[in-house]
Amino acid sequence: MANLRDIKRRIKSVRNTSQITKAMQMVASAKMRRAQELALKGREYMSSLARVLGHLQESISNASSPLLEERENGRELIIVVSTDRGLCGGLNSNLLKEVLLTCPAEADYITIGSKLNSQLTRCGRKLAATFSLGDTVEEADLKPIFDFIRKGYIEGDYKSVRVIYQKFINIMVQRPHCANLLPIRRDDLMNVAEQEPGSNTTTDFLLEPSPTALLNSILPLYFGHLLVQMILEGKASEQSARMVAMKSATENAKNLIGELTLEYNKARQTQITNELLEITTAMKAME
Amino acid sequence: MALNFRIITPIRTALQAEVSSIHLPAVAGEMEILPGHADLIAAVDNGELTYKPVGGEAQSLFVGGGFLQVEQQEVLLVTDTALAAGEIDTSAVEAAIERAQAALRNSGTVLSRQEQTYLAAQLAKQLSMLEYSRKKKNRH
Repeated sequence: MANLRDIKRRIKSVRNTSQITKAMQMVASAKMRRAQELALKGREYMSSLARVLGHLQESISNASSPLLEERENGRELIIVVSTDRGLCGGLNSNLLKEVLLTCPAEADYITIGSKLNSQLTRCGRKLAATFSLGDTVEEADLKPIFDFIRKGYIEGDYKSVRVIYQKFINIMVQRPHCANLLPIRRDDLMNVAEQEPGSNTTTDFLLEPSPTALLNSILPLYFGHLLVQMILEGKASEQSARMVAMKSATENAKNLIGELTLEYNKARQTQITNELLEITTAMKAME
Repeated sequence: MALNFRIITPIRTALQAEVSSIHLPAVAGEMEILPGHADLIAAVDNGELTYKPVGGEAQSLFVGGGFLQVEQQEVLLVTDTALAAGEIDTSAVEAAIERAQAALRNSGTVLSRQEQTYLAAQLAKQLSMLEYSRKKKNRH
């Protein structure tokens, strides 16, 4: 039978831990609400942009923008959107599994969020750069990322850019998802646009000021927002996963406290019984 | 007959309404959209957008650059900013203008051409937002 004082100490430490996980759960759920809203609103914006772009598809087929060009030579660049902090369940390890499964080993990698850096290096992937973003995605923080991609892509080092991130399905479910970022392909556009109900690409559109001018301004915008959207999805997934993980941790702690308290009470009862036994034995001996 | 008008920004659906006319600053010049307009995709500039809800008073908004799509009765404006006069924080805009001007002045050779263009575009947007907000205030 464990020592009474030991059990008491364990109960105390489990209770402290549960207070911490509870607090983290609260924080994550507050952040989650915000991140989720941004991700969902962003989806609507993206699909509207894609819809407009989809209508320009005839112009796309004869336009020449580096953002549309398919290339033969060069390496692939893969952007892994992981998290900066842990304690978010299996989010990062699932993402890593997906990366190892779907992405070629000879590609260059950049990570947004540093949690997967060491694992990727250990698996022999070449890390070209790593970036960290706060809980809110600020334009200023994104600039170095865009500069890096643009430089590598426009100068021809990379033939394509892919992003792998945790897509936010709902609070309980996040799924690793791999999407093409560059070059912008018509099929991908259609996929994004078709999320919008009632989109039919039939009629001829008047284009103002000119197809080329339109494409030149809308393509960089689309590309930029696509990446931002994936980062937002990643953030929403991170906060949801953390909230769920912390919730189950708190519940576990509660169960553990219950079990320990039971054990503590038993031990105490045994002690009391023993003491009574001693007293009565002593009394019997005195008679 | 009415137009189903939606303004979508990255952070919210700024407007969803049945309107009878829309007046907006396109890159190629100001433009009025009425029911029955031909299908159109146009680039939109910074500036004031006014629309008239069905059976209501004309309303106005500041819109940042973006794209307008007219598809039969569906009008969709995809833009980075859409704010009513009351929602514009004038002092924040002024501070942003200050920062952008300072950055442009001190840039010299440090900034690439791309960055300069970006800063100049930001500046133009902020200035036009300020102008819009002042104009609205004076009217009241």
